[in-house]
Amino acid sequence: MWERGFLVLLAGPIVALGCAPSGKPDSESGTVLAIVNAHLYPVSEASIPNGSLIIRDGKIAEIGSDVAVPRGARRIDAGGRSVIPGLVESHSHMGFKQLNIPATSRNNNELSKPINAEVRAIDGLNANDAAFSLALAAGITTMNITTGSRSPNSGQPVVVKLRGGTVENMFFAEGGMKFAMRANGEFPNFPESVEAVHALLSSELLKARDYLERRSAARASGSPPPPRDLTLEAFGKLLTREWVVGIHTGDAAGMRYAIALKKEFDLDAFIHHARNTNELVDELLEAEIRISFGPVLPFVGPESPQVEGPVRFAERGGLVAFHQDHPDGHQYFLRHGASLFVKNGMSEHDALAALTLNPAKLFHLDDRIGSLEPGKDADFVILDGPPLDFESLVMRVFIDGEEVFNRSAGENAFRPRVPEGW
Amino acid sequence: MRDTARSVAVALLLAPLGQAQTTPVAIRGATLLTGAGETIDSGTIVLEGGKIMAVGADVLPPEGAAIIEAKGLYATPGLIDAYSHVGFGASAGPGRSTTWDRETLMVPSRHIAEALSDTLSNLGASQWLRAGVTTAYVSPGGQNLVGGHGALVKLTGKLIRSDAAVSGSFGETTLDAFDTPTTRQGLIAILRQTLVRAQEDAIEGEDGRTFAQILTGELPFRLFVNTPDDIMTSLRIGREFGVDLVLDSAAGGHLVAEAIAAGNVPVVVGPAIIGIGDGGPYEGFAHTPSNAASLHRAGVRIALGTGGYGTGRSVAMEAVVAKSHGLPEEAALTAVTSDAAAILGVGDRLGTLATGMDADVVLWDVRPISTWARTKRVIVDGETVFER
Repeated sequence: MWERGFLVLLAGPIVALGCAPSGKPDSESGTVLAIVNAHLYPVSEASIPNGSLIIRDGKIAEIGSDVAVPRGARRIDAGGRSVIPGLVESHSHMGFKQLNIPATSRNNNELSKPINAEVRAIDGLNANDAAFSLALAAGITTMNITTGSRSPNSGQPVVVKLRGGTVENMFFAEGGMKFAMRANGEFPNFPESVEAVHALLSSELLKARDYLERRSAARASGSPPPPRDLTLEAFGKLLTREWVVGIHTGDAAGMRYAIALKKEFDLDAFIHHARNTNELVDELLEAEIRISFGPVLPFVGPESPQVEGPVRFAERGGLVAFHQDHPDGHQYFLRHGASLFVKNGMSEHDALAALTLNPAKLFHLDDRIGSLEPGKDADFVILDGPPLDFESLVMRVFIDGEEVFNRSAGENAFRPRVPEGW
Repeated sequence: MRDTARSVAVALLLAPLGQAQTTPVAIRGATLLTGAGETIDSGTIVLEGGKIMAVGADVLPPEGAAIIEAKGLYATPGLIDAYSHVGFGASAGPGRSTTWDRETLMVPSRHIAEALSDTLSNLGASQWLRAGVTTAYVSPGGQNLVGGHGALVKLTGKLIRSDAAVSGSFGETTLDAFDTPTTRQGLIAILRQTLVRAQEDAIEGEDGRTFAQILTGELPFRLFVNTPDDIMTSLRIGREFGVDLVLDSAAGGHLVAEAIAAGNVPVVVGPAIIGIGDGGPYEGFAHTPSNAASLHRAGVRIALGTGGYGTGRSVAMEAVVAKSHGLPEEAALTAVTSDAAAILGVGDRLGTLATGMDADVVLWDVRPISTWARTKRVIVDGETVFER
């Protein structure tokens, strides 16, 4: 059963060769899969203690406690185990800082200049990083993979699904843009203060506004347009809100500059790290800015004061996602980290949303992934216990209805793999 | 002589913290998990003068004792982090950011306690105390081939031992830290020649005395190693010189567990929950959360260590991770209590709820080795240092 799914999966890259990344699932048409006798956590609604999940053509067709299994469907009896949406990691460097190959981490930062909006993560990502197999064992199905943040603007992250194969086969969506509101005086011609970083990014956005206006004026008058500039074009997508921008910053001062930049240019922005959220919950809420908090473990523990920030922010309606910033925080422990916030007052539902639906919302992918709802991609995880419990292990992982990880069978869509024991 | 002077200085510094409690305290009604494999339903623990005076189901509180009602709670010994760098790190202040000596490959007579002494009163470890961790081994960093003496501290700032073990290390970390030698085998050749010279009493002064402590088995030689090959080399060195070996970190231990067990060498298993910077060095390739379980299954005595500085990492969390990856609950508890104390050479005073032991007791709301466990009260040397 596994082998069949795996072969289909391997065929993906061949089909995709020569095509633009489409994000199209590779499932066999007409196949129906039914997960029955499951404790379902749809995230979009309250959990269903004993229900079924019907998957057709890689999409969720039905979910509920009173759902009929279609004739001819392949049945998987979950035996009362938990079924949750595939986890969505909003900030990872997997494929850039490769597991146990530190020399490759040079690819994580383009350091020749401070502004790199035209640099695309997809062009340097190594799909054979052994850590991808760990991410599947952690129940992660989608990741925003970003480069940086040693420059104010490291370029364009990429959102991938962990289907295995080439990066073409893994491609899911563009990840928008990454800024870093931090000074890095290590490099010549790099800003030496956060103020200067803010000024530099503002100035690039102003240049892009001018570029868009000149292009549009040329179109209107029929005169030859100014030559294409991939850097300004990319910044332009922030001004038109076609792309989201994730702004790396941890301290209160940097977070205030991120808020200011969002307001000045009406950006679709969220904050990566947001370590000191506990100091400016009101300001973040007022600015309607979202946060991707992390890395959590091992830097933040159950008794760390920083835990309080996301708890209060979420309580008051702020959108929180958690991230591990792999390999800064080991990717496997994304799910475990969420339990710290539950211990400090966050509801289990909100903590699970911070691993699934909320990160999907950061990238406006919540119409396709992040919860178990009809019409969405069939990306889900079967665990042998409650979702946020350390003692629960990820048993099986499905992407677009295809099995990509099976703990008992020792199968994993990625090679090379980490050693046994995960 | 210098050792004595140092000890006195440290003792004076710590005197106010070392005062033991005088009124007896009785903790009543908790489920006692003694840390030595025993469970006592609804037991009583009597603490006096900073020591445990009595433990049992039928123990009555002495007259005048302050009573702590703990019905429905679980009591364990204070947890022990058997490999940490608490008191160091950027937050510890100037000169406290490094645990190793950058100048010299081998610094056998260095005492980490000396570098730690003026930080002891403020270890920055309140997060660990709140998490139920009361004792930590403070190791020299993993860079020096011989890094000197590690210390054992209570996280309230009390120094238990300034010479708990002698630490050594080899592998990529050491090679990265020093220009020469340039190979692992080069490092081992230097270590072997040095130990041979020590055997022949050719090393003078404190360095010579330190090597004598290793060679006579007075102190364990703790080697920080990770790859299966480095572990096998450690065992080889241990056999050659008859030293009392302890392995630190040992990420690849599960791949050579039988050999470690055959050598009767204990392991302080490194953390499962790690940050790995640029992806981690090659020698971390075998890192897995089931390492502790594999070693335990093979019959190796294990403790757990975080390598942490007193903040986010927690050996309590490591025990839960180890349990969730195959280590039996009881073994996970002993790995952070009685087995840790035994490996650290203080099994007679720490790590077990038993008469005569230090009064380090933690009360938990649910079974302690579990995701949702939180401390209700943490007692060190008979004093409540945290209450939730």
